[in-house]
Amino acid sequence: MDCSPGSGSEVAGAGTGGRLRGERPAAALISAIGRSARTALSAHRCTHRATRLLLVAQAGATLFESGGDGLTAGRRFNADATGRADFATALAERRSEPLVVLVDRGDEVYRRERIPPLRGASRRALLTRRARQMGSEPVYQLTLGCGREVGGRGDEWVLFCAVPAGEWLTDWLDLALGQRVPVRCLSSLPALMPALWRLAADRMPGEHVLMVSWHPASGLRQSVLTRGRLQFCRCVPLSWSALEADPALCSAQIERLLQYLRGHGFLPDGALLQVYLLGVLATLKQDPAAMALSAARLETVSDAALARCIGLEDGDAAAIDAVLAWVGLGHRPDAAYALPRYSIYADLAAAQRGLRAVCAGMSVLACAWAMGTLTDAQAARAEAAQLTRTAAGVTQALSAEAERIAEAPVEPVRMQAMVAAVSAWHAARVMPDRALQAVSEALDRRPTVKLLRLNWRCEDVIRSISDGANGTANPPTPRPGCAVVVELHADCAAACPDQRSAMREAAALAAALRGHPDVSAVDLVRAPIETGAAQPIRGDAAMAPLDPQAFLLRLVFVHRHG
Amino acid sequence: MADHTRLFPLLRRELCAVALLVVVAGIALERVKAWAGHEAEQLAAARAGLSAAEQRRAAVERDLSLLTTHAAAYNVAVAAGHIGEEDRLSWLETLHEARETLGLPVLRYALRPRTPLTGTSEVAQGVDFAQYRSELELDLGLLHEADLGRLLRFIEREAPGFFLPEHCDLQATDASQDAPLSEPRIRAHCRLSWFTLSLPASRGDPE
Repeated sequence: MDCSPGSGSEVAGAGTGGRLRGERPAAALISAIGRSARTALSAHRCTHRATRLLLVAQAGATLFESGGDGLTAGRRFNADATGRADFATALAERRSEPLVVLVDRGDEVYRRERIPPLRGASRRALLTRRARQMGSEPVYQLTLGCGREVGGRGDEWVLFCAVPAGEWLTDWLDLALGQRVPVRCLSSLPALMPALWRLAADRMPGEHVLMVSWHPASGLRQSVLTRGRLQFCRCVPLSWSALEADPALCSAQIERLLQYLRGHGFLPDGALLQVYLLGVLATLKQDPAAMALSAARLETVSDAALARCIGLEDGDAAAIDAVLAWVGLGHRPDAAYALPRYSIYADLAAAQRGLRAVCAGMSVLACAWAMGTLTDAQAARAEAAQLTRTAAGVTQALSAEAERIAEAPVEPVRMQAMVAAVSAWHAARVMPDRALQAVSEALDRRPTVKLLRLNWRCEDVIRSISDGANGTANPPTPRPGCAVVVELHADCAAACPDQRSAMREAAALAAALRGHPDVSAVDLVRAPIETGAAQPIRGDAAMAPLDPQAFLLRLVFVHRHG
Repeated sequence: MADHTRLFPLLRRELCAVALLVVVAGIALERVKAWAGHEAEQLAAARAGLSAAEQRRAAVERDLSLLTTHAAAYNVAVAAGHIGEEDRLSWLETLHEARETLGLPVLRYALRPRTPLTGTSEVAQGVDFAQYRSELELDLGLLHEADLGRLLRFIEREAPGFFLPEHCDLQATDASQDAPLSEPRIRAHCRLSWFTLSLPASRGDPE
């Protein structure tokens, strides 16, 4: 570990009213103390933003102000009307900034108790009940866990701390309350000792540690930690002049504490206790060897190097308060406000926790929604780009074919329809020559019959054209274009001697036509003489028996494509 | 129960922070939503574009298939005079030529004006072409009934366009078998319909 004096000189003025710049002491501490302190200080810097800490002692109060980049030390207010007025003015300057109140008082009440292994609400209820049993009327109560017993049922040791009520503290708190300044937390120095130890854990190893620190406003504080948990803490109200007059007082107090620890079982037999002196030797300008602690198994370590490593100059005893203030700004002990008029700060803390939870929940929900939406949007964007590229590829691939289609004389669909219409025409066309040929062949076989008149017609030809070419994409099915009907007027007057023979010729001609493959039906529409039973017959027997032997045949032809 | 009226002044920083967070988050979420909406619109447009491209491809492939299938028949129909303007002069020339070639004693004709074929409104069906019909009345003097068939086959073969015989009425004359060939044995009256297809002026009629 690098404990260069230069790193300590950066904060030389911290205890004399100068400014502890966040970057510089942090850099000095980080380079000196190590990774654990670096992490802790980084966390502190995040929580120190625009927060003030009021260190209240018997003689007065000290206000530390922190911004985003550092901690300002050293506005002292005496415990009189002038000091409180100055403090009220200082509060009014930045009323919205929260205040952390740190109590440094020698007459704190401590009680160390063993409680059964409970958790959750049961443990909280038990701790509340035990804390109320402390008797006095404290301003606030603090509960510190000291760890569990290794053997047995695993009982837990708890240290109950209470700060007694008194004007020395309530005057300051009432000022904050009257100015509606939010008090973020109320704590006392013992609660900060574990955090202070963790800050310098690289330099102060050991399972059992005794930290002795000198606080000008209150005296000599002795804190015992086991595996980082506070077991005991007390403040001996020694004045500077008393210590200066008799430097052995310090070692005597330590000796008394060691005897108390041994007597009350704080230290197991054979346990090694390491003693760290913070600001004490520098204040007393005394060699550690001169402390002459009696216990042979105790290690006494000089505090000079440690003081430099955490940014304290020898002789700058007030700097320990600044470091504790720095630690206290980021520390939130499990404290309860015992006086009802300060319970609003508990409500305030609960409301702040609720607001933070709401903000965190909202942030999480908003972030989740935003992330989901952004992910969907990104996917949509990528898909849109892909689709656009695909569409462009399709369009580009079709350009040659589209050009060829555009060059066609007509649109392909129209072309198909027109070709279909022409096909329908051809399907509908029937020429009369086949029917004429059939009639000629029949007449050739009956030479006695003379053709008088022939009427050929193709019925509904126009409609068949219309129906055949419907203009759809599918070509029309060829269908018969028309019904071919031929009406044949003939007679055999020249060759038939009587009506009976004329009837025979007409019947023979009809039979001949029926035999033709193209003829589907032959009807004798008008016979040479009507002799049917349903027809009336009138005549004149005196007249010649041979009238013109004319008859009319009606032929229907089968449709065949020619 | 907490006295909220006492708490609000103490919480003004947190409340301002919450309000600011809500405003900032709202703005940010609105922007995100707007951007996502824009991207969704872009995606919908891209999908529509791809769908349109696919439809164009299907249409082009269909048109190409139709073109490949029917182009030859179409060209034949155009060359045969089935599509386009009527070539009436060629028709009349064919009739004159038929009379001389077939030796018909009489061939008189009456060609009526061209009219749209009623009931075949292909325009209404989106095909956008029209069928036309021209009636041709023929008065013929024939030596034999087979002359009618030869005449129609001659016209079919030589005249540009397409016709349908609708009606023919043949009647024997009083001419004897010994009458000169210039005297017809059969009088015939026929009605033919001449059909053509034409395109609208926008695309242009094929020549």
